[in-house]
Amino acid sequence: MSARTREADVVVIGGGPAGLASAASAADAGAKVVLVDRNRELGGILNQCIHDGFGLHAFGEVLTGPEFAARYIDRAFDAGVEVHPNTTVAELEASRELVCTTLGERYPLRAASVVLAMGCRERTRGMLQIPGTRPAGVYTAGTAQWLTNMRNLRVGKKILILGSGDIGLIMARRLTWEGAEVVGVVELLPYPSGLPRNITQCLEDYGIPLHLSHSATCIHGRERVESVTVARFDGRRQPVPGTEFEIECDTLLLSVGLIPENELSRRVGVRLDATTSGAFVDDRHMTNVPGVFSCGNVLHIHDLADWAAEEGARAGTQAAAYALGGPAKGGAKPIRIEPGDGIRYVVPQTASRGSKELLVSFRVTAPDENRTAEVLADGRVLASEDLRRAHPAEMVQMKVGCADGLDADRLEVRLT
Amino acid sequence: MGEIFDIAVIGAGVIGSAIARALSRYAGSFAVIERTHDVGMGASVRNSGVIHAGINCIPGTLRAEYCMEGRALLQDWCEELNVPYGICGKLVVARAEEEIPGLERLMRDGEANGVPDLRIISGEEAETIQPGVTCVAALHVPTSGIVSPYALTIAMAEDAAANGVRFFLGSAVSGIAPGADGFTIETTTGPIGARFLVNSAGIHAGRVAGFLDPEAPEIHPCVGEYLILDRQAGEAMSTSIYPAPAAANAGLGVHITPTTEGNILLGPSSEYVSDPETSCCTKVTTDRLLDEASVMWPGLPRHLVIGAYAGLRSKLTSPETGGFSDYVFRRTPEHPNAIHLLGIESPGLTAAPAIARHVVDDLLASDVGLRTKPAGEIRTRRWPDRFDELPEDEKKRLVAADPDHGDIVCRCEGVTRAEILHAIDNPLGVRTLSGIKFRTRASMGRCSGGYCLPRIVEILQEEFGWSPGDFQLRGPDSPAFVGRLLEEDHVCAHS
Repeated sequence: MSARTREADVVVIGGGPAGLASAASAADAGAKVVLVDRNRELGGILNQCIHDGFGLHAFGEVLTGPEFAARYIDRAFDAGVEVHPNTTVAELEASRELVCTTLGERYPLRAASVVLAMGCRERTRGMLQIPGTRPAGVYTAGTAQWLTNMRNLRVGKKILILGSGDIGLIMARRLTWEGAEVVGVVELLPYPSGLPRNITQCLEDYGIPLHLSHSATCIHGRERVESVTVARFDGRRQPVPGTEFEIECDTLLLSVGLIPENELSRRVGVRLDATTSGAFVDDRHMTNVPGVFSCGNVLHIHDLADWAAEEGARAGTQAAAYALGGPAKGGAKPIRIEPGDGIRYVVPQTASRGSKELLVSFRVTAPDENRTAEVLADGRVLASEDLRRAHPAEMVQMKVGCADGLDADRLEVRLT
Repeated sequence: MGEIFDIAVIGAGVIGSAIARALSRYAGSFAVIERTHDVGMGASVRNSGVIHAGINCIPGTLRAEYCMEGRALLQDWCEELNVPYGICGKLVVARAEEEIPGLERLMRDGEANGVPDLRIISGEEAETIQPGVTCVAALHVPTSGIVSPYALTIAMAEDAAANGVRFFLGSAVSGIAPGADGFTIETTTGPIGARFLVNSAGIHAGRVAGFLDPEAPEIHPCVGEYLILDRQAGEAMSTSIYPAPAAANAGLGVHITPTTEGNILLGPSSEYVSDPETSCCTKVTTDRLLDEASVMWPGLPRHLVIGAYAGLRSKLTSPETGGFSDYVFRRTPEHPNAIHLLGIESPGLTAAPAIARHVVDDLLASDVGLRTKPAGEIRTRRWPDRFDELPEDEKKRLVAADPDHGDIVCRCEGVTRAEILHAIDNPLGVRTLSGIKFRTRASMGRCSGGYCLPRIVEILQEEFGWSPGDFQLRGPDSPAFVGRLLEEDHVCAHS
C-alpha cells in the first residue's frame, strides 16, 4: 500500500473503458498517470457484460465485455499507468487534490490534471415513483446482471422487464438462457430505447413480447413481487383508463435509463448540462474547472463501450497536454455548440476558436429515416451527413474539418 | 408451554422498544414478542421523524402530557444512545388570511401545554427563518425537532437486548390464554409464558387485546404516504414546514420535514384502509403530496424524489369521526396484569419514552417485584457514529484502527465495510437486508442500493458463506434470490 504514488501528472478516476483508455493515452503522451478505481478488478461494468458485441468499431472484432476490457487493461499497463484498485475517491478539490480511501489506508493524491471517468448509475423505482407495495424482487437490470453473472445468483423465475434499455434487453435473453421465464418487456415510449440489434437478438429471437406505449402502474405483493399492473400510456405519458392488465411475475427488472454519476464533479464545482446530466465540456473535454476533464458515461450516456473508450483516449491526451504544458493559452472566447431541430444534445458544448478539426457527438430526439445531419457555423453549413436511419438509442458522431481554423459566434447541429 | 417471563411486551415498535429499554434497567426476566423479523418495521420507521413541541395536542389529554414529558426524555435518551436528533424548529404556515385563526388556536393550546417561545410571525419573517417558504403568516415553534425514528427504535431495542431483554422476532401472536399465574401467549414460533403482559402492538393492538378483552376498542389503520427527497435538496431546508390545520383536532396535514441525515420528507397523506397488509403508495397521492407541498415551498425540486414509503397510523377514531382520540391505557378487572396501549398515534414517537416510564411505573406499583439493577450491571449500547459524518482526522484515525473503514461499500451514504460488519453483528440477531439498511443507511441513498447491494452480497457470501436462501429482504417470506445458476459458486482468484 505504502508504495502508492501520492503525486502524478494525471489522475484518472474510474477504471471502465473510458478511464482505461484515457489513462493509457495520457501515459502514451508522456504523463505520469495514476488510475483510481473502486472495484477490485479493472474494467468497470464490462466485467459483468459477458455477452459479445463489443469491439466492432475499436478493433473490428466481436468481443465479450471482459475481452474488450482486457485489451484496454493491457494497454494501460503497457503504457506504465499505476493502478490503485479497490479505492474510492472520497474528496476532490478544484486544486486537483484528492483524498483516496482503500482497505487500511486513507491517503492524499495530487495531480496537475484529473480525468473524471466515473461512469453512470441506473435510474431507480424511487425516481420513477412506481406506485404499489415494496416487496423483494425489484432490481435494476444492471444490478441483476451483476448478481447473475458475477455472484451466481438467480434473481427470480418469472421476470417482467420495465423499460427497453439495452441492459434490460440483454438480461431478457440472459435470464431466458438460464431457464427463467421472461414474460415481457414494457416500454413507455412508442419505440424501444435500446439498440435495434438487441430488439432482434434478445427479444424477437426468443418470442419475448414487447409492449410499446405501456408502463407499470402498480406493483403487487407484500413480501415478494406477485404481479405488476400495466397500462397503455398516451402521448402525454399518462395511463389510459380501462387499458390496465395484470402480469403475473415474481421479479421486476428496471431498465429505465442511466444517469451520469456526477456527485464528485458537483462537489468540485463542475457545471452540468441539464439534458445530458454530464459536465459542460470544451472540445478538449475540459470542464469549467481548469484541469478537470470528463469522458465516457459520466459525460453523457454512450450506446457503445467502443465510443466511450475512444472519447476517453481523446480526453486522456488532452489531460496529459494540460498537465505537461501548463494551462493552455486562454484569450479567445470559446464558441457555443447548440442542439438545433431534431437534436436532443451535443457534446462538447463549446469549441475552441481556431480549431482545425472538431468531433461532435449527439443524439436525435425521435426515430426517423432518410434525414441529414448538419453542423452549422452562424447558419453556414460546415459539414453534413446523410442518416438513413436516425434513432435516439444510437449516438451519432460527426467530424468537422475546417482548414482555416474554426471561427463563428455560434455552432449548431440540426436535422434536416 | 415455553419459558415463563416476568413481563412480556407484545410489539417491538417504538413504544415496545422503549418499554423494553426501560425494563432492561430492572432485574427480572423480560420478553418482547414481535411478528416481523426486525424491530420498528411498522409505523415506527414510517413517519415524519419529528420531535413534537406539543402544539397539536388538546391540553389536559394524555397525548399532551406524554408529548411534553416525552420530548424532554427523548432528548436525554438520544444523548445516552447516541441517536441522531436536532432541534430545528417548525413553521406552521397560513397560506391565506382565513388560516390565521388556526395558528392562534395552536398557539393557545401550545401555551396551555407549556410550549415555550411560540410566536406568530409575518410571511416575510418566516422567509428569513426558512428561505423559499411562502405564506401570509406563520406560527414559529422553535422547540420542535427531528429524530431518526429507525435509529431510535433499533437503538432502544438493541440496548434492551444487550441488557438482557429477550426478543422473539418473527413471532406473531395468535392467541392469549389466561392462567392461574399469568398468561400463555401463543405465537407462530411457540408459546411464551408471562406473569404480566404489555400490549403495544400498534395497529394490531386491538386484535391482541381482544384475546383477553372482548370489549376492547377497535383500531382503525390509516395509511400515510411519504416521499423522500435526495440529500441534495436537503441543503435548502433546515426547518419543518407544516400547513395550518384545516379544523380543530384535525390531522397535521402534508408537511415538509428535514431528516437528521439531510434528506427531506414530504407527507403524510391520510387515508383509512380496511386491510392493513396492503399499505401501498399510489400515484394519486404522490401527485397530491407534491402539489400540496409546492404551495408552501414553490421551489420544491420535484426531480429529486428518490423514494417513497407508507406507514399506518393506529387510530381509535373511526373513518366517520376522523381527528384524534386520546391514548388509552386499558386494564380490565378480569385481567389486571395485562396493560393494553391503544391508539398510540402521533405524537407517539415523541411520547415513547414517557409512555415507557408510565408503563414501568404501573408495573412497579403492581406485584411484579421489579428491582432496580445496580448501575454497574448496566452497559448502554450506543448507536454507532456515522463514519461519513466524522471529521477527516477522525476518519483517518478510524481507518488506521480498523482497515475495514477504508472500504466504502455504499457510495451514496458513505457507508464503510466496517459499518456493514457491525450492523450484521447486532444483538437482536437480525440478518435481513432491510436490517442492514436501517442500521447503516446503505441503500437508502439516491441509487437505492444499485451500487451497494452487490457489495453487501459479496461480503455476506465471502465472509459468512451465505447461500442464496439466506438473503432475505425482510424475512423468510421475502427472499431476495431464488437459487444459484451453477451448483458451485465459482471462486475467481483476485490478482
